[in-house]
Amino acid sequence: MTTGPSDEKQRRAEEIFLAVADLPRERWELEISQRSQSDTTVLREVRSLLDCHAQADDFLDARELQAANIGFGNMRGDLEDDLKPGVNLGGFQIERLLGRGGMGSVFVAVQDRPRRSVALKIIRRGLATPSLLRRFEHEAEILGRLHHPGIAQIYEAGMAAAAPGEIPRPFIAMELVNGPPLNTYAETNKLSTRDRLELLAKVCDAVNHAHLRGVIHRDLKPGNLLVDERGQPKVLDFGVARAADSDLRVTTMQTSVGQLIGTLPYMSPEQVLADPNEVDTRSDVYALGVVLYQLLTGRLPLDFGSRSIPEAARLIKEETPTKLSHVSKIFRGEIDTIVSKALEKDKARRYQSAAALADDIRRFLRGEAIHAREDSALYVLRKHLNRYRWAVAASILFATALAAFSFYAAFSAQTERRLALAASAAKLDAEAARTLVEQSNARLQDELAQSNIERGRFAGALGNVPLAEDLLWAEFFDKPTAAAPRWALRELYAHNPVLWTTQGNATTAASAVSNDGSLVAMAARSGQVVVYSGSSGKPLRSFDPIGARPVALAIAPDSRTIAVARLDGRVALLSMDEAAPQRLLWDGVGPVEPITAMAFSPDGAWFAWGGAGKRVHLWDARTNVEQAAWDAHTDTISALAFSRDGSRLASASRQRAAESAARVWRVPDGAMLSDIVGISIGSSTSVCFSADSRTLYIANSDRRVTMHDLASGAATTLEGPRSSNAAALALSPDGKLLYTGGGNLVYAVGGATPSVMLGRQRYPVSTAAWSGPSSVTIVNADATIRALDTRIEPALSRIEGFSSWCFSVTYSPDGLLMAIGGGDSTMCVAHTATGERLATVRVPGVGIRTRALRFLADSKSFLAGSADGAVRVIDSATGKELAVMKASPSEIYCLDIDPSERRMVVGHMDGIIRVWDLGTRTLVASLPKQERRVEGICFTRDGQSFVSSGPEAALQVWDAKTLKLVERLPVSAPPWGVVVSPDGRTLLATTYEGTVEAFDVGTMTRRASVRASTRLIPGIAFNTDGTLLAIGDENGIVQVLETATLRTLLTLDTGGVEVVSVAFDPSARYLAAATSQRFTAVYDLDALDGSINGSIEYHRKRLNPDPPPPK
Amino acid sequence: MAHEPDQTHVTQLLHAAKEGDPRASDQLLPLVYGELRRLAQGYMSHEQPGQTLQATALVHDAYLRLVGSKDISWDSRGHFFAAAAQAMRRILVERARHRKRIKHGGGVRHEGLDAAEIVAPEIGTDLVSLDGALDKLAAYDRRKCDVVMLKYFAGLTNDEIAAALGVSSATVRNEWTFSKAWLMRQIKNSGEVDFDGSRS
Repeated sequence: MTTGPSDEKQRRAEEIFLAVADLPRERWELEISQRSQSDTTVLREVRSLLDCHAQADDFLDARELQAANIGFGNMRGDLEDDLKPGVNLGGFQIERLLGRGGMGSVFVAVQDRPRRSVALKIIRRGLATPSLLRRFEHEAEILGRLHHPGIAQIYEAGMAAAAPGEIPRPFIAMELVNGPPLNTYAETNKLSTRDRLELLAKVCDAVNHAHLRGVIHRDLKPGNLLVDERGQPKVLDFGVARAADSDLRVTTMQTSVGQLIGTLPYMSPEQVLADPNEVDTRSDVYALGVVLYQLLTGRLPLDFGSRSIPEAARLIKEETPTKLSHVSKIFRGEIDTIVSKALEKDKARRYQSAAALADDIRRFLRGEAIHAREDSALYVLRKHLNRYRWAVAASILFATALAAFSFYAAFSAQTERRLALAASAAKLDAEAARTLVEQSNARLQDELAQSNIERGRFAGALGNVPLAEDLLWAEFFDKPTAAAPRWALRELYAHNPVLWTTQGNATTAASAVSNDGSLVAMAARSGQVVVYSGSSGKPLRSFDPIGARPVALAIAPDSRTIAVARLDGRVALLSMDEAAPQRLLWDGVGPVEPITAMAFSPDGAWFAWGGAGKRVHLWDARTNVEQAAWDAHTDTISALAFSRDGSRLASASRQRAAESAARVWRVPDGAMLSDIVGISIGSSTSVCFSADSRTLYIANSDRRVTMHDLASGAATTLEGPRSSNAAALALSPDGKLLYTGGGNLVYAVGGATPSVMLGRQRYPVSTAAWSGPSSVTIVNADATIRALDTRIEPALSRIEGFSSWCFSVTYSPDGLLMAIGGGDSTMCVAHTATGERLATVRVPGVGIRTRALRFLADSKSFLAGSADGAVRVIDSATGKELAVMKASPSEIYCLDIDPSERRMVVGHMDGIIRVWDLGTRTLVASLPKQERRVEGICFTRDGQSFVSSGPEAALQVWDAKTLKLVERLPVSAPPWGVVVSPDGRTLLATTYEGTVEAFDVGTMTRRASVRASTRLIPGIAFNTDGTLLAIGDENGIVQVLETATLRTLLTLDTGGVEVVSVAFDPSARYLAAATSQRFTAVYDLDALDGSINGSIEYHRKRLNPDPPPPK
Repeated sequence: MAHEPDQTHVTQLLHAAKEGDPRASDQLLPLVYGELRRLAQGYMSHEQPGQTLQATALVHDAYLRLVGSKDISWDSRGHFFAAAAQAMRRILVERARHRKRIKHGGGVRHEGLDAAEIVAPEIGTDLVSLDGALDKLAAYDRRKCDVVMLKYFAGLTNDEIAAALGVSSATVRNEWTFSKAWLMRQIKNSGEVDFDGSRS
């Protein structure tokens, strides 16, 4: 063994080696001799290392271990296929090897009869275990049933030996496709985007054909999508992957890493999760999305670079692909939407079938509205917003502008299309054309209104309350009877509650709100002071002008005295007592010092003021005698505030660089306790103590609010959008919440993140005070007075007490009671108006769900269908079980009774509808078993028939007498809920794809289908008169729809993960939603009207300042 | 599958290793080693004999099974891949020695050979010599050996190695360039290698 150089020399050699290794070889010698300083050991070492370096290119290539298969298992050396050209295997003559895969090899072979070239896939000998063979046969049989021009046809599958005595080997003979992979084809032929889209739509057709026959591809990628001579794309290897249970692990195992890397980008998140149960047809949709993305842009949606497999898997699960439109602007708009929808991480949000993807592609190509677009931006936005209300707010301005544009764009596109239609019609017949144009105009009017409402809802969702109010109130006054504007306003105020709004004196120079929010005072420039009620906004008292221009206002804690600072340096004291005259508090001598800040101590003992004189003056408020005055700042004092206990006084001053901005003084001697520097304060500011006097909040001139710990001096900036000068600060009566006017936000005291966002204000908030535990009275710079409700969901209450999901909810016909079915073997009866639990019903067993509830017409009892297969009759008042009807242990999903209350139909998990006689409580019949569980059922109003959610995408109509299936009504996706409108004319169904489908009961034809959600809508219910429809989806969103148009009027987020059932109470005041979060949410829709009624006069005047005089 | 890897335990070990507990690393290696072998067996019992598998893919597979897709920091992950690289090195070298023994010792193929035995790849590199050279490299500079192990046996990229070892990617690249040359020379100079891998 040779002795190497010493460690130190070795290091030296390493250094030189690295300095030189990357240089061209011819310079090596020169460089090393220069650097090695004639140390021959080092020189020799570097030379020998460089010598090896020159040959080491392929040495230890990391791909070496990847590329070389490390076999394991039976070491019989049968990994190589030994089929030589000329060999005949089961009637196929081998011509040449086409390729090798994990499972075997593919050869070009010629079939003897019929004479044709085929691709012959031969499974590796070692793979031929009996169970694999069985599976192989099964697969071959299924694949043999796939006949589609877009699928490489399987001709034959079987077992054959290559030579007598050899073990027979399984083979598949399939159509030989001569042609390049999809993307190569597109590139070589320089296909246009349109052609590429058409090509992919054809692939989708083929894939869909297989899906409908239960075959999932699982390995769609360009290499498996060839285009033949006629330009027909052909999908290869259908279902082959399945024969080996293709999950990530097995794929890793059976293919080389090279192949896996070829496959990984096309794998959906659920495939990467390696849970075979999660993989379904939608995984193929994802792969098609990737192929489409690549076909259009030439690159993959996710860049894996040189990432390891787990890293790549994480990317697939978490990383949103670069939007198509970011790759190239030519893909802006719908095509981007289509691809994004195909690539959704959550398969429930993807296109639910390859057919749906193909459909949208073709719609796009034809210039029609695509379905993916109907996955309303507003819907998604609101959803995100409700979950992350605060984080989203930062982008309010931008998004609003964007939203406004997109609605405008959508609207004008529709207009154009309609006008074009009218124009082409005009050529045919002038008269008909005129009618068409008139109709078209009416539609346009309607759509313009709808567009304004949508824009308003959008703006409201983003917190742009002023824009939302402009748009929605305008529509509201324009069509006072229309439902949509009122509902949109309800929605707006549900999220941005404004209790009322009134207009104060428009030329206001100063304003103040009393500490308890009971009084609002405004001083006009003329010197006139008006006092308003802080609880209603009504004017209470108007004072004579104070004789000089007012600068600042303060209201004494007893609400009897109002102090008005005058520009001439005097304070006018106005008394609410009618008899008391106006008094001037300060009639001092010396230079005029305008007073800009005033404050009363909360106990009414002290009155402090200051201004351009830079001094703080402390007066005894009872005797009006100055107790102390001291030099406080180097510039004008802009704000003063007492602590709650009156022992401290904070002052803030317009601040010059590096000078103190705010100071805290001891009352009454004026000793300085704290000095706050390093922030910037302007002339309009506010300071506010926390209840314990330990923290001081300061509104800065840069719109920030800072929180200062007076003991440590630590400062924190409160987070949140800062839309205007944050002058107003107010502490709630309990001292726990801080309202800041700048962003119109509420913070928990001590916290820096807003807890409630009250929506943007049109004008800055000048002054504010809490008028109750959850209401703030504010005065805006435009002199409007508003009362804001600081609760997040003022109209929402919850019925709790369940230990599992709430599965069903319904109201009694008399409106007094509601029943809720839980998943924890309980049900409850609650009082409608109060939500109070009146009775709890227990079902025997553990975790028994009650999904079906139905009150009888007299409200005295209700029927409850549970997971134990039993329908129980429950006494509404006592919760006592009156009877049990059970014919099967299969879980009940739905039930309904006919109007005469004689028949009951029950839909079970086992796919059987059981029909009962309610009078005798006996089972009348069990209808034929369906493929799928029966999730929705409903009688028509005449009781002649009933409709159920059928297997596949269809409703089934049954004759109630003969119990025969009379009709199948196709819907666009598997249905869940089925309801008939109170007038009996409309049948509605919800589906797994989030659509609501409307049928005309008379003709049993489909009238409309709208996409109302991105996920399954299990909850659907009419209000009593049938004009409104409530739906609840698996995103936890409840919507109210207008039955006539199926337009969304109102969207509410229950905060539940899923809504399973919804119900209107008979008066349509309450809307209940059973959620997976163990509560049932109840919305008081009347409470939402409070905000509308409280602001209607204000907005009427604002939008119609000069109503035309009546004639 | 009969064997369910205890992800929590492995994650805890990784965490402890990151905190500097040397026993954690010691415990990790047999776990990973066992898992790599078990994976192989598992695939066998899944009726797919004759399957092929790549060393680096197997390591990542073991990672997914032992750690899952949890988002753990790279320095924790680094401990896993270090152990996996070590385990894979052992397995491959064992197999290479075994193969040499067969070649030199009469080529008797034992039917009783563990069916799940991982077969050494037919590659250019003499794994047995490499094993010895790596030991020497580790004696000179531990980190250089780690870089080679993580790159060659665990299939990590330079960036991943940099994150795992807490150095820059440039350092990894340098260490790799140097180590390759160094190892190559070491193997060339090491002379004949005996069946059991010991140097003559």
